[in-house]
Amino acid sequence: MREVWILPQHAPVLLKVEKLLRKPNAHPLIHALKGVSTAMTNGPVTTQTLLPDLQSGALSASARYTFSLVEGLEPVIQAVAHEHGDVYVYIAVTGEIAIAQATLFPVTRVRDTARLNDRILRTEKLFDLANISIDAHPDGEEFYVIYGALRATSSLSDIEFEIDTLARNAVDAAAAYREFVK
Amino acid sequence: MSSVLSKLWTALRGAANEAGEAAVDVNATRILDQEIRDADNELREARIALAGMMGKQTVERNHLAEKQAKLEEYAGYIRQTLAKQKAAESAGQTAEIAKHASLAQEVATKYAEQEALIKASDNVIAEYGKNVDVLKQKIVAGETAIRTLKQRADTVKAKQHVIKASAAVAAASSSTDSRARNALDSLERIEKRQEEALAQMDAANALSAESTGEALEERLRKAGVIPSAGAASDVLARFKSEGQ
Repeated sequence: MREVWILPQHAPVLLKVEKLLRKPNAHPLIHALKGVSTAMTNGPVTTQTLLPDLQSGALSASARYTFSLVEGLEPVIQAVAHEHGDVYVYIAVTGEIAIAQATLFPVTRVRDTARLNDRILRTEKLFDLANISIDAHPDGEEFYVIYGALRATSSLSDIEFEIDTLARNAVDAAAAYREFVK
Repeated sequence: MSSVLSKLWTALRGAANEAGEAAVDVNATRILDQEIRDADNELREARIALAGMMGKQTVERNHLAEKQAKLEEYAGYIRQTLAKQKAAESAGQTAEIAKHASLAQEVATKYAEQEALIKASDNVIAEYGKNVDVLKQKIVAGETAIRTLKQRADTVKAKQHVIKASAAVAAASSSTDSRARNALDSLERIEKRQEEALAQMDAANALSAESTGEALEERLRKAGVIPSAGAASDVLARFKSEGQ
């Protein structure tokens, strides 16, 4: 027996919840409420809130990844993928979007960018959950990068899956396009 | 939306003509942010217009109700004057008949006018209704457009953050480490590890082959092909026999 304080207009919902919680097997409801409480306690997902989740997540637990924060005006998470040649995957959350990105190689090392770009357009579909683009560092040096974008509100396991897939894809893409690099 | 993309492409072409292609990302962010602000303003205006339109519709509905009440009133008068006219007819009161007939005519004219007013009012309400629907659609479309624009802007910004971080890490890393660790380096690292693993396997194979070799030697010794320990006693026996 417990007193419950709610707004009067929510009484019908409470009645339903109460009926469900009387059943010995209320797992579906408890599962649903866990999602609600996570959303309520965590608030909006940011790069800073994502880091501890990743550090206590499955990828860290299995020692396959090391996660740390790259401090700066806009902090970014660095993931080191030990199973994938210690490739760096950077993760940033902005608004509703989370990005995971790895550098493939500098543009200056490509022998024939036109031919490489042609190959990339034809083969990018092989790299699931990933896009390839050219991005410039602040000093102007340009790099081919591979990245995946997903909703910031995605579950931790979805984000971990994206990171792990991206790390594997980065190394596979480097292997696929190495012949164009000097 | 297409106007946003065409602005982006223009910025892209402009930047391609200039020296720094990095300007593309900066321009994209600037254009997207401006578009989001514009779309936000449009959305706010549409919401205000919708509220105004729904208010006007409500006022017009109230007027319509008043006009319908008036119409009912006139209908009552017509019925009454017609009844009185009929009563006068059966009583044979000629003057009364003419009076009520003219009254009925007068009220009927009013009734017709009121009907026209109601029809006009109905039309106005329907027109407001159309405007309300259009504005509601505009608001939904605007909300979708803003969400899309924000997602694009967020993606571009997140990529910029990531790029800055990787550049900072590259700048901070020692000269022995690769300047900007990239997937190509990792691939080479993996291949080196695989080579080392292969070399280890080769070594292990060689060792196991050697141990198999020992076993073979042992077998040959047993078969008497290689002299066994027993041969030593033979040698000794031979030397002993020399002295005799």
